[in-house]
Amino acid sequence: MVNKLLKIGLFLILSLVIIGAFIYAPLAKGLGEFTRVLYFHVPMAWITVVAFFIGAVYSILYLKKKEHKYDLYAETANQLGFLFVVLATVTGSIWAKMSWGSFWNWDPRETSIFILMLVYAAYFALRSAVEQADRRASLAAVYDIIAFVTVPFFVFIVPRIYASLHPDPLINTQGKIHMSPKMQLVFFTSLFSYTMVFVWMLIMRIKMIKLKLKLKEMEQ
Amino acid sequence: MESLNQKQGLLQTGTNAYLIFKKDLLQEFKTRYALNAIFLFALVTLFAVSFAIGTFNASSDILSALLWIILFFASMSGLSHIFVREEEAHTADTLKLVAKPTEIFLGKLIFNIVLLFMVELLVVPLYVAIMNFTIYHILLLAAALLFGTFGLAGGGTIVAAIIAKSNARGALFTVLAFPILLPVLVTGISVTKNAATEKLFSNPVSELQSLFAFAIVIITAGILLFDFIWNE
Amino acid sequence: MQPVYVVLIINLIIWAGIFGFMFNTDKKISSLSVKLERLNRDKNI
Repeated sequence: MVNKLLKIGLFLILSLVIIGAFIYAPLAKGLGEFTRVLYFHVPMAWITVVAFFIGAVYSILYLKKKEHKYDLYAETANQLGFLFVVLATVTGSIWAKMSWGSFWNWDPRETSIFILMLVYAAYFALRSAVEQADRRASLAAVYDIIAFVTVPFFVFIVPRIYASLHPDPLINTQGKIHMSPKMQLVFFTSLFSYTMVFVWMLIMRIKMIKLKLKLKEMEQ
Repeated sequence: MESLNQKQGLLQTGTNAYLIFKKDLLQEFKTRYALNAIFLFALVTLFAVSFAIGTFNASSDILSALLWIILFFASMSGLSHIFVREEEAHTADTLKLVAKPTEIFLGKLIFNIVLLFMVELLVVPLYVAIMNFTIYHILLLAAALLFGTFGLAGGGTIVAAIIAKSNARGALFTVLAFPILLPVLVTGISVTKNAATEKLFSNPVSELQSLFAFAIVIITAGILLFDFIWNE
Repeated sequence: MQPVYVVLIINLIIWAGIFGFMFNTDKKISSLSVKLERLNRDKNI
């Protein structure tokens, strides 16, 4: 019951966020209508990092405990992360078209997110190339950790060295947020509710994996 | 007493890593498989590029990008050999008995670094001569190649260990290594561009730092994670 | 109607669709896990 209420509450909050992003929040100076994509693009990028982080944590857990379920959890977290990185790229590309004039112009940010996608595509390629389950699990876990270790170089270092047109990310060097209170309200609610949607998705996937494993156990 | 033991352990690791390196070097000189693969790949691409572009047409931007692309893909063609050979000749199990994983990884890493240095020593001067590539800051280029080689060899060695255990060895190596090693490629190209301009247009120190940091991170991650792959 | 409202409504419809799908899937998973538990119990008896 509480579960159901929570879900319906999430539905209402995210609906409010969408309405707020389109009607309530004021527009930023010089950007016009394109400000609105901010309330969707930044949460996607944030969830991408969270999802890949969770995937890396499960990979470490797998290497420590060697339990098959952790490998499946890591895979599912990375799949969700991949979904959100695609969404972040698409929303970011729309924004780039509107404010920089082209969908793709190899800005350092665009380059880094593209490489991020390549890395995780390679992770899935590796998974499909190994047949034995336990071997696949440990190889994929090792690759996942290496991939996650190199991600900061793309996300934080490369855009620092090369001048980027991308607005400062959420965690900028000055620690300031350049937004009016109304915008902040919509922005942080959006961040929170999208994260909750992601958590819900992840929990659902993990439940499914547990069911599958139990079914396998019963069959034997 | 304890520190003495530790020192002895470290010495032991170093000696064993050196022995494995020496063994690989001897084996390599018997067949020269990896050296030939990398060197010929680099040579063929170098001449293809030189033939297609001509001598005086390319700007230093393009030349520095091409230099790193040639080095990168040439190293991709040979770096994986070091672990694939052990698996294919079924000598991996014997190696497991005589040495610890860290020693094996270090030995193979040193071998790959030396291999890349040998190739660079031949290919880079040749490239500079053939492509008419003017380098104003030779030390800067040397530093970029040095740190870049550590990064390339570190990433290449650990990915080679991964793919040696998988079923599709040839095609997978580049797919797995390329995205991970792209920071090396991007910063390496940028530093080389810098070295080819008379007046430095950006501060090369931060770029060299990031190359160095990348090499340290990837080699550390490789040493820590190699156990899990090797014992699989 | 202004284009902003059109986009807003499209967005809301998409979100409602996604939510409905997730809600349904969650329900299915719960019922399946209950069924599995029951099966397990019957088997043990």
